[in-house]
Amino acid sequence: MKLPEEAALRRRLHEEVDLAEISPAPVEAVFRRRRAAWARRLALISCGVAVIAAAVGVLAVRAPGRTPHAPTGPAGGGVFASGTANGRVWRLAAADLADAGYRCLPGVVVNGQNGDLLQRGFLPGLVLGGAAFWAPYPGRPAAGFAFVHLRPGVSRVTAHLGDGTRLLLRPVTLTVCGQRFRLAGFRYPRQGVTQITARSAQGRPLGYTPLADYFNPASPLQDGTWMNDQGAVGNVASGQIGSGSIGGAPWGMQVTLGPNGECFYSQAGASLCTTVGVPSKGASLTPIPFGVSGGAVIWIWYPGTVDARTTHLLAHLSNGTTRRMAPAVVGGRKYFVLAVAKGARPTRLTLYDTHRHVLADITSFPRVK
Amino acid sequence: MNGKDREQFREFMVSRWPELVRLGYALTGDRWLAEDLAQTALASACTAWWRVRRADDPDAYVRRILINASNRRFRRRRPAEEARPLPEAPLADPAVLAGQRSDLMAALRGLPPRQRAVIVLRYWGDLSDAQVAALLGCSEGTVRSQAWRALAKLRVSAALVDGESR
Repeated sequence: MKLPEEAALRRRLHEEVDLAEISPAPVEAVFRRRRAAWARRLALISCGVAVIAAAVGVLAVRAPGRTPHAPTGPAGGGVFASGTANGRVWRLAAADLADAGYRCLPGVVVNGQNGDLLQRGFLPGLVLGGAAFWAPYPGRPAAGFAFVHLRPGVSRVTAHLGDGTRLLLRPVTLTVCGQRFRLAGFRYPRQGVTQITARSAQGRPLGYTPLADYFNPASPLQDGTWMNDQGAVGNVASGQIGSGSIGGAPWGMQVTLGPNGECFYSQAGASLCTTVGVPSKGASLTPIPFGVSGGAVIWIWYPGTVDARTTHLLAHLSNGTTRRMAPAVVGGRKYFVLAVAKGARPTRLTLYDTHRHVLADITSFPRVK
Repeated sequence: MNGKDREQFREFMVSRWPELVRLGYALTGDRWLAEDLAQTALASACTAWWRVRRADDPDAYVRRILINASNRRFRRRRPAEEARPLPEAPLADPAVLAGQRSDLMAALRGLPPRQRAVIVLRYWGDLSDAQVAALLGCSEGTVRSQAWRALAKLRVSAALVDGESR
């Protein structure tokens, strides 16, 4: 098209669109929609929990010796995709992310770590199902992993990678936590994924294009958590994991498990999300520094998960004080949080079981970034 | 969402609302639907506000949600919402000039969603091919080819022919 024609199109579009009458921004309506969305999600989760409970009950009656948490299916150990990257084998598998003996929490793990939660159901309007991307090595040749939780009937799934490669994916149906999931996974290069195509049950071509920012190492989306697109139904669980006071100032912290991963929120405003770890044998800690307006750190929280047998923990701090903590169960996982004021640091953390036996003794702590 | 986030989001929404409605209108040709799309996009942004506010370009993030919502709507309702046939002859009567604008919107509605989005973002949003590509999650080459195809279709439509003669 000649330049004058393009100029005419630009002018006419501006004439048409810019003159449209605009109503005031419906701020309260948007807040209402947000609240309604959360309510729907909670209702969905409640229904899901009821179904899971019923399914687990049926399994327990039919097969008393069988562990309902164990992933089962045609692929051994719940693995639905595997390969080699940079000379190392990788595996994507469905697994139960809850502690043994607690309610089942289905998820996907990479090499047994860094999980993302799996949820039944799909948001309306989704064509393929729920897609998730995780970039543990942004900018490096083998940058990340992806999986798609496919809708029933969707077939011929092809991942179009940014380096021009096309991967024909083999969906695998797995049962985890008594629920069936059809999953297809793959590894993607630093150029990312341009599109995922498939055929619907009726044979119609389907296409899904992920956000370009998912594959941009400079994007804040690459904050180390899984990026869930399309299938982000809502949080699976949330609850308070600890509270107390430091220097007379009260604090509290809660954890949520959902599409953003495992997120710790303090009442004071500090927050951090990570991938969902597999149940801990000892303890897994994530330091969260908290400062005030000047930016200086005044507290550091160390929230984390602990061995399911832990009934209490004892922390020794560098200033000679000790803290005794009791873990809290959220989403079938045992959490605790240790709060430390500026100037002190933890030197030893001991986990005890119900018989006061030491389960783990930790003397090395993650550095605060 | 705490009080501070709520206030921050309210400011963001009030300042972006007109542009988002206009983008929705350019994509759909329906002002009421445009407001609904803008509201949907902002409701999604509100739900994931912690993520949106940390994005390099929160505007692009919300625009992307709106475009996706518009495309989903197109996929769901396409059979019932085919664009009406374009007039075969140029609209010569000055009395119908006012109607030409909606002819342009009708011509846009006749384009596939991605071509329509490329045209709107390129010529109304005044975005570069690189910015359009980033927003639509495709390559610049795809943007150029989609624009070329869309312009070829618009060139034969009465709406654009008239636009040139004005």
